[in-house]
Amino acid sequence: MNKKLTVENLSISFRTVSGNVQAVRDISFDLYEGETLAIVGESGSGKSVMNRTIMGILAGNGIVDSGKIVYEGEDLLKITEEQYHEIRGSKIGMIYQDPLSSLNPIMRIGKQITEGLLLNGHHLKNKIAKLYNKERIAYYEIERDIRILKEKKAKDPESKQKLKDLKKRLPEAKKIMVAAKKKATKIVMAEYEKQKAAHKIEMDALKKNPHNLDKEALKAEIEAKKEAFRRVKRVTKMEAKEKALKVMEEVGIPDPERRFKQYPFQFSGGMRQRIVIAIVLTSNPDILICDEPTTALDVTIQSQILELIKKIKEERSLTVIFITHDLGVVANIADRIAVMYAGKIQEIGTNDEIFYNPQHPYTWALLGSMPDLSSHEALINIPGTPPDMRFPPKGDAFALRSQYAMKIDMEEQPPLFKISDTHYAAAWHLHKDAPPIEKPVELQERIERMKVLTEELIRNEVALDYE
Amino acid sequence: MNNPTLNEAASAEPILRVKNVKTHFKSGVGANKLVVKAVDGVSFDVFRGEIFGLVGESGCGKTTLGRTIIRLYEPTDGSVEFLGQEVSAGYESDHEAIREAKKILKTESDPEKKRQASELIRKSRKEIARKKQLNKKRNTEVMNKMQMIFQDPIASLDPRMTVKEIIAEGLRIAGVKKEEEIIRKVNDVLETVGLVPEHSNRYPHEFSGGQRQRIGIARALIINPEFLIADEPISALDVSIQAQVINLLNELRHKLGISILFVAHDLSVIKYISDRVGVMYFGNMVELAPADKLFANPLHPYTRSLLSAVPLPDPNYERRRKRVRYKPDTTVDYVADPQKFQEIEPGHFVLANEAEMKKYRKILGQNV
Repeated sequence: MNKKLTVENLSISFRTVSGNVQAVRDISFDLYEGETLAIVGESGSGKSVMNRTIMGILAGNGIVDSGKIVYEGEDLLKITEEQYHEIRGSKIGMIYQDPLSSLNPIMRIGKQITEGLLLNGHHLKNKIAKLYNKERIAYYEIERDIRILKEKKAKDPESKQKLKDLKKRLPEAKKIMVAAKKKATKIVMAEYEKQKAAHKIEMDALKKNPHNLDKEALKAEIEAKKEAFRRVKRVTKMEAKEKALKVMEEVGIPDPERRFKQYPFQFSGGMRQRIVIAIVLTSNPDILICDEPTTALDVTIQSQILELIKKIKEERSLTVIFITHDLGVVANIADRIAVMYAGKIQEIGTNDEIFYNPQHPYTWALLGSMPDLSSHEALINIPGTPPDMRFPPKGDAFALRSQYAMKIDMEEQPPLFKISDTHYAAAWHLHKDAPPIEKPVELQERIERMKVLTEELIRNEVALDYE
Repeated sequence: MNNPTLNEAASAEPILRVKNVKTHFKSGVGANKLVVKAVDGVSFDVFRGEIFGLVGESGCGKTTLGRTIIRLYEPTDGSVEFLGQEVSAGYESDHEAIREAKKILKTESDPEKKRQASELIRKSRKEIARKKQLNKKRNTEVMNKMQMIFQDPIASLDPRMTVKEIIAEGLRIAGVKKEEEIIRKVNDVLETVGLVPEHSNRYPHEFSGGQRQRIGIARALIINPEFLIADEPISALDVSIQAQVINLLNELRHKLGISILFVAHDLSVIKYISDRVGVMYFGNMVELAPADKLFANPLHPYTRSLLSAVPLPDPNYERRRKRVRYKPDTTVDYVADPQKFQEIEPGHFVLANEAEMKKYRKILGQNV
């Protein structure tokens, strides 16, 4: 399978008054094309921070300490904001948790959906930008490097020299950029003028009414021609609306014509989430990041939204990163699962591996703390609270809350041990010298119970077919 | 709707009796008049020592019902009995009776019927006056035995009060003045919910979500209630913390013998914690049964749809699960054959008309 996105050794911390909070610590994973990767963890485990970094919308006090995020051969952490504009939204889209606060309450739904289309819809401008893109990026890269060097306030002569050199190169790069822009504008505008002239000739011909149409039909045809020409220049409002209505239909909003003119408060929670998904889909991303999209919704609506996400994933062959803390949802939607705790990936594997053969004590605890429709015994309590990430523990972060902790857990962080080609877990008990430990019996019982339930489900299906 | 006695075991004594309660919210006048029927005729009993689960999607009226029971809202109609005493009542039906009687007075000429009508008006007016009096007066002694736990542990605790002040507030209002007694009781209740006395001088922001919810529970427990209304106490919490709070509530029920009305939309949690479960849909209760029975034999199509939407933590199951959509049947004529909330097997109630009852009986016959 093709790698769509690679995260390597990513560490992120936040500067706060009381010290640096290490939100994400040394995370690496690959995202393959066409898969759904679910990231599971408690609040504060760093899952949202990581995804905000991928989107390039990290909060102002967040610092990327180390690492790489490689997308289409480029490191997203190194590119300039100008380059990011072409990726954020149009290549990587994001759906947020709370559909109410991610919509503008005083703006009609239609305007919110078409906003992105209209703002990015200057075809001529886009063409020009594409033509002189190389020169533009060269200039902004120099500018960024200067900024970074200045921020570092390095005193050594080498970086001072570097700064000097860069500053010298800056005006030259600007000159090149402006010249390239002028050239590009000339080319694009010349082409546009040509089209305009051709259009004028066509219009003049049409006005003479060669097909002997009646007055109304002629008017309509002229209007259609004019609209078609306007679309050469930019995305028109009518075009944007057509696209928006199509997307609204795709995400399952009934009566889109009427809904187009309404405000967010006139929509229910599930419908609002559909709108948010529609907005993301207008710009045709190929990676979709869903940050707990169903947490604020109740079961029936949650089920609908999950079905919708699965459907659009199939239809548009999207790659999805799905963040959640609900294991039921994960079992439903994920191909692969990464379990995060205290800013680290503790276990990563395919859906079946995590649910039927979990290896990390934290995964056990997570699975055991959730009641299902047939559990009767007391739930596994996870004692204590997650660690304070200003002072991350020296060893395994989960050791203090785990009954399986060994001495080494307090002293050294476990690496990711390989269990199978797709399954890795960071727990010392997987080391070849570690004493074997017993998995909690509740887990096996649950798996057995669910097997029975699944069989029952299949039987019922057969019974229904007979009816 | 009739009012079934939900007493399955004659020995069990109901601690709370909700009789045909309606809560309507009215706004506007004249042409703009809008009535939202949040709760529209719900009856059930909660027995001593049991956990009664109330499920339904958002907007179905489950929170409104909880708030009506604890008298945060006044019922429009019906009555709530707690510990054998009527604590609040609505009088919409009395107004209705008066209106009907007045019509009779205008149209009828038969003196006997007229006399009956005016008698009815007199009686209804008396009843309204009595209920108004009842709703105005606060029977502290009885109502203190009922407490509430709120959904959001962050919003429901005053950030400027220490934990001790928050928990002791109820005690002070109840009239306890001695400082030593207050401190002793606060420490006791903190221990009951799994916190330590040292926590009492801290502020809510110093605690994690689960601990904050414990504070909320401690505040409810301080005046020894016999009945708790838990309004989605875990939906704002993390998975690992949810288990702590569920286990705590379960423990309290066994240790202190408290009855709990547990409102939630998470069916797995409801199934796990409750003895009996009521399913609400659009202000009505559509099905009520012991938890095991309800989940084994869901009868009402809405219950089935709700159950089919629960995602379970098992990939093989999830791959096969199909969601059943609930579409209210528009072909059935409910005017000719009205729906009733009736008992279909011992302890299992469902909202259905006669034709539907026949269908459900058949389903039960097949399954049993």
